[in-house]
Amino acid sequence: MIIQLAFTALFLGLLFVTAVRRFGFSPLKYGIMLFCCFGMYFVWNPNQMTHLARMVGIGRGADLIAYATTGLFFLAVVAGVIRERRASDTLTQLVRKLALRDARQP
Amino acid sequence: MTLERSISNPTNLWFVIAAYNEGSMIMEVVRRVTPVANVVVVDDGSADDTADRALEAGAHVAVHLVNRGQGAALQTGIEYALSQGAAHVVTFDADGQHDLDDAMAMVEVCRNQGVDMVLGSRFLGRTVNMPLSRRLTLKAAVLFTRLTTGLKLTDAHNGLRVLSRAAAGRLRITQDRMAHASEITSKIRHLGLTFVEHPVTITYTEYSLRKGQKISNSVRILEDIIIGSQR
Repeated sequence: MIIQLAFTALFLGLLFVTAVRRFGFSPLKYGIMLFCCFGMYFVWNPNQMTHLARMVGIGRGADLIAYATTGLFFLAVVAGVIRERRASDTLTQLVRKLALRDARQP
Repeated sequence: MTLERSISNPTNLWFVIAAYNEGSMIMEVVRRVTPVANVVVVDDGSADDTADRALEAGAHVAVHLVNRGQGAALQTGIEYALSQGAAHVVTFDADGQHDLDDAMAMVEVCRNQGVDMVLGSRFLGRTVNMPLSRRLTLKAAVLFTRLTTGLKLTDAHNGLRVLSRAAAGRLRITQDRMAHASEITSKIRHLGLTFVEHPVTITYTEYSLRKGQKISNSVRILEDIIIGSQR
């Protein structure tokens, strides 16, 4: 019971933070929110996880969790790369402004 | 009359040269061009004296304090040239691969035919000392461009281009690194720019091969194209 309460609190906290925070890459935002909702449900109904896993052709609920976590990790990596590219664009614009401002003539 | 002298108003002609650690070569390249056109060298965060040497040779110099890649440097140079009143902009390599006579002939074509861009093609012209691996990679790039943009180019990654002022203003290169060549062909299609290809000679020297693109960069270019479309 204590573990179930702790995980529920964890998922609720993560759900709240994700909902109010601005995300540059919305698929990751919705992926995390979906993960939290399913997480809260299956913490209290663990047998349903195995049932769902079998429905989608996976043997055990634990395997389904592993796949879902992997998918979420992949989305997080993609989001990180896109964020890095946006920061890179900003840096390029800054570098360009300085280069044009300080250009030297022969 | 030489092609150079037939250009009626050279003050409106600008060569944009992106340079990274080209200190040993840049003076020679700039000195070839300055008698017939203005030159802006964008020193892309070089660790050597590229900027000073380019300035000494008679070029305008804009310095990227941090290395941002050839695409970013070209865009900076194009913006500088436009701010100086360029009527035509030529993108020209810093490693001595390009032939000035080819560039001036392309400017003539751009002016006489009134097209937005003239693109150099080494496969319509000729190459000197091009390795087979480079030829195959470039042919694959041509195929990729044809499949993704529908443009029937013979050489999709040639750095020698002439842009009219209007085209240079509309182009806006956002791919900082080498994927800018693919971006340019893609934008030609999407912006509806008119263009012709022109035969050019590309001379591969030991220096230019050492400085130039590696085949392994193709993977990075693909990654840039895919991620770039998500920004």
